[in-house]
Amino acid sequence: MQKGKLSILISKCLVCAMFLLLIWTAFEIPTISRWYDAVSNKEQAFWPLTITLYLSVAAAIVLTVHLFLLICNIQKGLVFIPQNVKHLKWLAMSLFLIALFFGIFGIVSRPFAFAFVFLFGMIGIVMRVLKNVFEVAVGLQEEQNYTI
Amino acid sequence: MAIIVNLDVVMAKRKMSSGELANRLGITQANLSILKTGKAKAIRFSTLEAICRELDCQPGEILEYREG
Repeated sequence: MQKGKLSILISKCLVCAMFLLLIWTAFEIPTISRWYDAVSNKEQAFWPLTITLYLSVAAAIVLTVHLFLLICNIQKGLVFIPQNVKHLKWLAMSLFLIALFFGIFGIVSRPFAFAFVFLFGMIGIVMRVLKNVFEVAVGLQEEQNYTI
Repeated sequence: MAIIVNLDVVMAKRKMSSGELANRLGITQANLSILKTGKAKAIRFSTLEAICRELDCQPGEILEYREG
């Protein structure tokens, strides 16, 4: 049981670290975009990349918040509850949005961005399937709770 | 649900309170209340057996099927 508690604590720390990293990244986006433009041999992509990164970071922040809330619920022993299904839904939506933003960036400026579309899209699909599994589990849990 | 639980009727006949019955069955009063109010989704045979033993009744007196 201690191992489980430690594991959840590590997950919480990682999510918090990711959140802080995202906040830092948000401030550094113009720098990142300028660096990319400097190293890239192609046409300027400062504004498309900056907008894409800002939108993606915003979606990623929403993702980490919901992930944190999900972990907090699990820590309290509330696993198969409707709230967690909502959190997983938000995780999937955030990932799909990030995939969409990179998709638009790929069309407008850099085709290599489609690699990120597949990456985030695939993870988003996995999250969505996990959400479906949790939905069924919530029903089973309710039946279990109301079996006397 | 089509299955009606007439537990309170039998309890009243045997003059047994919820607290006492819950104690004898080894379940919480909250769970007994879930059973009495028809919110239960299923009942274990072991629970049904204990109820019938404590209230000296048959399962048919506790459970009733009503269409609709």
